[in-house]
Amino acid sequence: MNPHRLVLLLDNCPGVLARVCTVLHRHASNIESLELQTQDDSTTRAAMTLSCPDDDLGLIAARLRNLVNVRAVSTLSNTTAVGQGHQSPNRRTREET
Amino acid sequence: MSTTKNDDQASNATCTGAQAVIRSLEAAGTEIIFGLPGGALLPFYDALLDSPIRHVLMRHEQGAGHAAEGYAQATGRPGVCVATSGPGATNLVTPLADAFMDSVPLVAITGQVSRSVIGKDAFQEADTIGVTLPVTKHNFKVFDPDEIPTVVSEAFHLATSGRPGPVLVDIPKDVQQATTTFSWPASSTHKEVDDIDTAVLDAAVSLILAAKRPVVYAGGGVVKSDASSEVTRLIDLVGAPVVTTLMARGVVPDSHPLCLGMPGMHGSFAAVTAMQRADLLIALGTRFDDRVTGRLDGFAPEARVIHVDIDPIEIGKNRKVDVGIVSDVRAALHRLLERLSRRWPEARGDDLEAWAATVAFWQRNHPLYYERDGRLKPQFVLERLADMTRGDAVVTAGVGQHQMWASQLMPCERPRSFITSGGLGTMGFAVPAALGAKLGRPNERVIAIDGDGCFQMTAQELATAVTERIPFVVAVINNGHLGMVRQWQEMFYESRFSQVELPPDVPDICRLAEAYGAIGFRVEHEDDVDPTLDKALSINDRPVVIDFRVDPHEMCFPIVPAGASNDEILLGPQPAGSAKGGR
Repeated sequence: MNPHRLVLLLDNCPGVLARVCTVLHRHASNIESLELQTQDDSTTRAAMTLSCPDDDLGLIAARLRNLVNVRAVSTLSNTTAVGQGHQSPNRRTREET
Repeated sequence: MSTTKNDDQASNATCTGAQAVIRSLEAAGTEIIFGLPGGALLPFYDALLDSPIRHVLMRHEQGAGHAAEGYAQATGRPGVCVATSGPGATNLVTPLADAFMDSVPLVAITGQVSRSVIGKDAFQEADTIGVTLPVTKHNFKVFDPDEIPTVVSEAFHLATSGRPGPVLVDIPKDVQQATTTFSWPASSTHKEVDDIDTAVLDAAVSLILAAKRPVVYAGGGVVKSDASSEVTRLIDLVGAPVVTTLMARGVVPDSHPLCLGMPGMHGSFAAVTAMQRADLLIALGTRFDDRVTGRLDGFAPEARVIHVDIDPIEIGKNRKVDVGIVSDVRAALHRLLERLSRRWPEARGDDLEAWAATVAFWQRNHPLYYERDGRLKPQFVLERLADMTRGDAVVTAGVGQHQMWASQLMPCERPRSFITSGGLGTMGFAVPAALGAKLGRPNERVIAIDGDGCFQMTAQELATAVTERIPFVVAVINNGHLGMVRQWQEMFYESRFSQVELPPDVPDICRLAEAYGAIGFRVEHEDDVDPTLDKALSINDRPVVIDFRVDPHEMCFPIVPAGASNDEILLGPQPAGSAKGGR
């Protein structure tokens, strides 16, 4: 259970954190810190530190990317645990770290 | 803000929110919706009176959801279901979760209490968005009536694009009553999948050229992308055998010599063993489900993996891949076949004759088999049904032993001809799904293969089928038990049977069917199977239910015990000398 840093760009709308937290909860990931910053009327930036198994981080990030209200996901972890394959192997142009 | 019925139908005309919902459904191409009204949907149902959309009045919202799934799976078009607020919406949770697991395109419209009382524990209020959030691809709550067309358009787009799935739109009653204008958005902003890197394609081609024991592992994504002919071209070109998962039965005809049928827990010996011995798996639109892989660390230990799936989540989720391709299966196969056929057969080292011969040997020597002893066997019933329909039917199945026997024994020659609840394993799926499938494919014979436990979970939809004159045959494999649970208790819990008996006469399925206005037959002996099926298959003006009283002790083989490696497959009774039953 290493801490992992995750930065999300979210739609600025009611319930968006609930959607994010549903994914985190499913993977038994705990939020250690969370900072929210409204960017403009339509977007919010969420920077969080998570504790979750290293192997799960890639899948968590991939599931978050699939959420309609999540515009971008960056994993700023100092580990290299972003799971194999979850980064769209033939889509290298998406925002990744 | 009252509902007026004969508003101008033109775009941009003033209308109520409810009328905007109906017009949006029409604009999205909806012909049939499955639903059940309630207080929070009164404006919607009033506006529906003026629409050409056919509404099928179900007897339970779960039935509405599964019927919409059956329609969607039979046609490839999105299914639409409607439920009121509170309990109506919560009754939709099971079919939504089912559609989510099996990637079925579904649009659910739910009523909600008026905006002013949301959060005040109003009558029939539930947090539908919160409740359905984990079991939908996305859900919307509409607060502004002007947003209705955009939201409904987006719901259909999300449900059908990428990896299909269920999308829910929750609409408060006063939003339905409010005055708005209807304007259908020109087109939604589709995010197309990027092109596939040629280096990735070349890597896949190299693996295929080098493979000595390749197996194509075809899943439900092949059905969704209409890639049957591409998969068949691939196996014909390469000479590789193919396994078709429960969600992909029929994507390659069972009669194709390279088709090994269903893999996994109750798969054929040849399908399971070919995957175990493979040196290359070409996984197409599939997710390495635990029912297919058995214990993951023992699954296909020597295989390298090419995995094509439209959902990036799936690539590497359960099994590490050597080449991952995020793409629609058909699009990827087009590119792959183009490159592969240019280098075939010159670049190929060995031919695959030895591998094909080995697989054929497994097929010949380990056929499906059961012992006949005078009692009516479930497999005998399904074999007769298979013989009398010869693949010329759309089959739906519930969940349990009967489902596995149906998948093993009913010949699948076409995609979208075997419809069942795969991932979620939802008992009660078969009858409402058959109803939806029949409405989607009215010119085809539809047969629901059900268990007695499953049947009792959604039997009320016979009332819908009778009232709406929707004919299909329900073959209830009645063993007086929750059969699969009983089998596990017998095999893995020392025959300590706990809460699995369902008295076969309670209810009397024949009389229950008759009470609903359907036709009921009972069959207790082998000799009566054919004549009864003959009669049942000739009735086309109402549903028919056949109560097959089968041997309760019969177990479904082969089986890979839960948590075991696929190498530990148990075959069950085997033929002594020549087979006296089975296929």
